[in-house]
Amino acid sequence: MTKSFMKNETLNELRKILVNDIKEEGKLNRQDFEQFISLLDELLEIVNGEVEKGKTFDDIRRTVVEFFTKKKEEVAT
Amino acid sequence: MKLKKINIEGFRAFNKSYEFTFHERLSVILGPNGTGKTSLCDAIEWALLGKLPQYESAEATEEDTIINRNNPKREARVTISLGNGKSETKLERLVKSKKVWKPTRLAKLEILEGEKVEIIPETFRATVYLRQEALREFIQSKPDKRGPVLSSLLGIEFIVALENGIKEAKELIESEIGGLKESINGRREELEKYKEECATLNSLKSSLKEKLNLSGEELENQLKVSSIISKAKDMFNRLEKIGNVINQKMPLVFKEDLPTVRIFLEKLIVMQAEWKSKISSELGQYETIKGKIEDLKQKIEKFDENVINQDIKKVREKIESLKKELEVKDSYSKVLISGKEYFQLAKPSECPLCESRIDPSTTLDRIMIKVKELEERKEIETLYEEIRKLEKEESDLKLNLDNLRSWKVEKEKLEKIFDQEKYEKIKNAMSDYEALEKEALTLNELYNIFKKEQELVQRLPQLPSEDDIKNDEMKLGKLTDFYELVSTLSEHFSRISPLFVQQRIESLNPTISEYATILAPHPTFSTISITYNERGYWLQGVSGKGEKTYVQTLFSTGQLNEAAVLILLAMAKKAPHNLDFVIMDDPSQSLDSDGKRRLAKLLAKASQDKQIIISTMDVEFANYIKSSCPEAVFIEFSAYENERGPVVKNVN
Repeated sequence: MTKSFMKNETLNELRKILVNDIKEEGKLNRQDFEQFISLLDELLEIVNGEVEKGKTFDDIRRTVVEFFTKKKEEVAT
Repeated sequence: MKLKKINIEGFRAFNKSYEFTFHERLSVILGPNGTGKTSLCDAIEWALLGKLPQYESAEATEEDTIINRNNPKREARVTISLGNGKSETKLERLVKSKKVWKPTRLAKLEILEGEKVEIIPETFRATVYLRQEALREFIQSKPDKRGPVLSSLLGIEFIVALENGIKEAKELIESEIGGLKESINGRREELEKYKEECATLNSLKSSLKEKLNLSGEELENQLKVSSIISKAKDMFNRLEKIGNVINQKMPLVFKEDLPTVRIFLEKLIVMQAEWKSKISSELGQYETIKGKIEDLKQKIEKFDENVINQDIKKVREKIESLKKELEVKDSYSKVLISGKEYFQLAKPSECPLCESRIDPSTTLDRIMIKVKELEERKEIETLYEEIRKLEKEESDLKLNLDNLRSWKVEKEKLEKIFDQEKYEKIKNAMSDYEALEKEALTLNELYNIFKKEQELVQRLPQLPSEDDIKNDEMKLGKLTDFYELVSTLSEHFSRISPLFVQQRIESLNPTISEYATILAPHPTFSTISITYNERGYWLQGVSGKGEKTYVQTLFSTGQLNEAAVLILLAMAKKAPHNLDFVIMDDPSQSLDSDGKRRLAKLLAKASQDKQIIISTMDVEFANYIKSSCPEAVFIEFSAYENERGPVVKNVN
């Protein structure tokens, strides 16, 4: 399924560069890499939603923090 | 797609229904302050995005900011038509008062014709709409705050927000991991400490059991509250008795409870030195007297006064006898010596009695023989010596007699002051006290064990659960793995985001440069560009010789105004969406006459690439646009009427 954030040229481009950078470094194993991509896509999707809503710089930063906090709680339980 | 037409009704300054058509290259909305120019620009943004975040505040609702307060229908409606010659899109944004229509976060959008226009607010603001506030903010910010504003103009502000958010989240997780580790270690240590305390207690109990030669059950019985209190009470009573003997009062009143036992044991430590020293001192005094009496008794027992007196008498008699003997011998000796002296001087003569011849030498010889015999026997010296000895003996006997008498006196005196009964009591008090000291030690040990056991039992329910710790250790493992993932993301993000931004900037700089040659914002610099380093975003001036200088602190407000317009135009040209127009609200706000002329020239040129819609109150600037681009459409507002909205003076 196409992710909404991919319509945001900046986020899409950013993702490509980021994924390439990780691949080039080659430190993550296959499973961790997949987990990483899934986490990144989920994050970018949420950020895109915030950008589309016209949220401020601080709102986006806070949303990112909340996203990781929520994820962390999911992981820890 | 260019903006072709707009219909507005009930939106902000527009109460009645208005329709405006835009020129495919350049349109100018001209009018004095407060006539509705910005509302017209905002109407385009609202139609496309459904929100006007710049007006959001705690005090104003969406209804307050969007719907014209005089609108009888209590609704705002904006319809825009877009087209690129091949296809047309017509969309309508509508919001109604909350009283009649349930509001949603975004006003209702209806695509009347064609396809949906997809653009995000960030991109819209960076590449389509240069709001007068944004321009003013860039111009008026302090130089060090201009970087973030520049990043906002470049539409990449949210990347920084994203990067900062990831960093902050990473730090939060790191901090939570640290906290969890600390908590786990703390709880582990608490458990270990508890176990150690239990082991120490058991060891104390074993040692006491052995010391008191008790069975486990007996020790447990002694560790009961009632037993401890009873022992303490018994000790208290015994100590009270000892206190009576040495005139000491007990330092507390004994109540049969544990707090009293605790205080009693504490007081015992203080009492120990004082009481024992007092008992010892008193006992010592009695022991000394008793010792002296015993000593005198022994001495007295060695002598008998009668015997000594008899001995003295005997010795005296012997002395007297010897003295008589000595007197006789001494007389005889004296006679011999007189005879000797006489006959030594006498001459031979006749005896007057018998007329016989007397030879004195013969008599002298005989006397000499007798003297010699006397000397040889040393009888007199012996007698003297013997008398001296006896006199010495007599003297010693008399001394003994004197001593014996004085001892008897002293003994009687000591016996008078020695209170045997009191002595016995103090002696018993001392032995009682010594026994009590040992018992106090045991009681103290029992009490401490009892208290420790009680404390451990009380602490038991509050002890961290081993299961909880294990769960938290598992959680820590998962969190650490997650942290590694976030850390990797943060690390890579921090590395690539500057490169990404640099790429973005580099793709813009040629266009900025191209437009800057027309606008020529600064006489020293032939062109300007944007650059980025770890300290942020910077405007860079490039001289004719290619020398680059950070100009954010050098440019005047007018030059900064021009730079911001250049950035928007470059951004618009590179925009990834299909909106082929830009809106500039009051773009000449800080420009002088020459600046306005050059800006008008630039806009005329840029309008060949992008449709441009200008909102301005500046007639001089509008005239320059007219000169630079004669075909431009002018929508002119002359005034504002509350019941209607802007008074349209002229549209051509």
